[in-house]
Amino acid sequence: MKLLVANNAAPFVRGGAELLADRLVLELQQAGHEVDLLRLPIGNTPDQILEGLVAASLLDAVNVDRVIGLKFPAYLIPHPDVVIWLVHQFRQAYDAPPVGWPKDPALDPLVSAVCAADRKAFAAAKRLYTISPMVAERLQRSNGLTAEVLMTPPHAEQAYRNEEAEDFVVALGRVSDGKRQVLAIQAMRHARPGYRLVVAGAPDSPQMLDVIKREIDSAGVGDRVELIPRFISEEEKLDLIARSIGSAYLPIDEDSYGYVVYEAAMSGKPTITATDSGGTLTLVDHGRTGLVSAPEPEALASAFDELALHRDRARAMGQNARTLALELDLSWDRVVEELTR
Amino acid sequence: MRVIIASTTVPLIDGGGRLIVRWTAEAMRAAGHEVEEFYLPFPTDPRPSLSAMVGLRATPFAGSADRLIAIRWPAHVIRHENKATWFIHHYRQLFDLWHTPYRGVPANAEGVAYREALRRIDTLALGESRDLFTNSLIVRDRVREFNGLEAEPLFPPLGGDTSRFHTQGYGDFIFYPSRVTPIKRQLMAVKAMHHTTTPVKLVIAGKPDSALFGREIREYVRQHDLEDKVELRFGWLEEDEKVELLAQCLALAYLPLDEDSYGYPSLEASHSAKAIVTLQDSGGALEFVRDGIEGRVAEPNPQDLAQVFDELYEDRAATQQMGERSFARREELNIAWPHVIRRLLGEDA
Repeated sequence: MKLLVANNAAPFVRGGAELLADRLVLELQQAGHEVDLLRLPIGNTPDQILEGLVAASLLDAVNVDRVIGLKFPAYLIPHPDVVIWLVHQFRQAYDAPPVGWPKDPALDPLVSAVCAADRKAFAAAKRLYTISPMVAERLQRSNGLTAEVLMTPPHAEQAYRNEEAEDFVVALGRVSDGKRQVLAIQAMRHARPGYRLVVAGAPDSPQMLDVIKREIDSAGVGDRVELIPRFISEEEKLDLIARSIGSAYLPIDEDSYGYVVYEAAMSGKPTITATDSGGTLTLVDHGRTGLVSAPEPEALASAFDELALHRDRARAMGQNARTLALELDLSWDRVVEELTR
Repeated sequence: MRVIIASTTVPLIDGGGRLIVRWTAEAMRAAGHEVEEFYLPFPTDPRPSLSAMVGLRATPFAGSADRLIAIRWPAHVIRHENKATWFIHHYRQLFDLWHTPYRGVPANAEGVAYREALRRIDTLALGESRDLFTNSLIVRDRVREFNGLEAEPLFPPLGGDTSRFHTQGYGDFIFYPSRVTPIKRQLMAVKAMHHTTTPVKLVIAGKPDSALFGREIREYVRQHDLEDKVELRFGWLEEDEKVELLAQCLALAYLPLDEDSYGYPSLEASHSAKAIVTLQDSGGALEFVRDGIEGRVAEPNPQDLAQVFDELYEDRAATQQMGERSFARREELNIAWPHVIRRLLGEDA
């Protein structure tokens, strides 16, 4: 099939969506398709957002059998065969502040233009997928549309291992406000004795590292929290997971299921996440594959306790988590098959 | 400097049109700039739609780089506060080919109005460019004629690592590497071989656009018993094979009909210090080759071309000297990336 993968672009900025688009192109090519990647600038100011909308709507994508649209405004390209794999909508037009634009009469016409263009594109699309249940829920809420969830596969399949748990819960990922390692550290003040917390990952900034260190001091948990504040290699990460009691992953409102959660599950370890962590709930089923706690230190401490002090339960949840991860079939083969059928 | 290079493309067709963009980006990165390439789909219909043009103009690039360089029609309609246009050619059917059979739009009132609309769009977009370049003198003259604007010719160099080109003597064959297609007139080169009197040989290499034209050439060779004098290497020519043939040949032939620019084969010959044979009506190649200096300019008929082939063979010393002048010609015309990049970025030559 001749395919055009259409993504938006902010010149000189690369993030997760760019990686996803590049990987998708590669996977489609490996499956024998002819694929080109189109990057369409989205613009910065509200005026430019409208211009980007116009540009995408008037674009003539010749010589391709199908357009696979990922982001606004790229999925607006008029073509008889468009399949949308929605990474996310233009949330400024839909969400409440601070993600969304503040209420401003000057912006209202633009908001309605975005919504109208979306409505038209979603209705015209041959099929509509989202990359996570979260994005599907938002789509349901804002546009009243039901989309099939086609989750983003992990970057690479790893040599996952499971070992007998040692005496720690591990918190992996970039050390940042959004991932809330601070919350896990605060929880350790309330935790029962007998286990530790290992926080491992590169801090977003030197300031962030200071915040974390201060938090450990002021909570007086220096002897129970081990901090490894640097980039953690894949091998190190899998080793830490394999030896852990379980993984704590507490992002705020994440779009996806979280690669860290997937990696823990594939290693046969349960995950503790928060009620407001968003997509992580895809893989964390409370009491079965892990624990979902209120985002508060005391509540989180009891969740830690439950796993650390009932190792057989933790082990069983870890096994369930692996079964669930395998059932979800997060493979590129499936993504390619769905997007090209 | 942060630079966006914006070009148009037909998805999944990776033709020569992308080469100049990619090479420019590579050379700019090598010079320490941060460069992003954007290829925006634009159909190659006989009659481009004005709405697609509006879409292109709407694309929001303003504010997102220190400089935007537009290459390939109609990327020059894209807006940016510091835009430079490197204009390769007009939409030819409507302008320089209007009075030829290639015209795709009828010359009725509507067609004329359409052409006028495109002329105004071109004039606006070229005129608002902070710097305006063309890739040849011919196109500079056309911009003057159709748009009343002054452009600076900026000749595109070969991209990538050109150190692979070298000279390994001056053999007994004329080499013509190019896409095999009627407009490149390989058949005239073969017909010339029917009239040569010296042992000079001809090697034609390239992929035929149509099997028909390839067959026609083959048939001519067979009917005139030219198998010993003409070697046909139809099909994709490997790069290292081409480099070797360039190194060993007596001279290069490049015989397009009325082309806009000197063509990459001319530059490859220059890098290999080889004289270039071209024809009086070949167009852009004449900006590079002057008769008797960097090579030979023949009248466009097999007899005259044959005589030029023979003379190149007989007077090797003169042929080699022209090869050396062909090598030096790039510097004379400033066909070099440092110059091109400085000018594209608005710096002084």
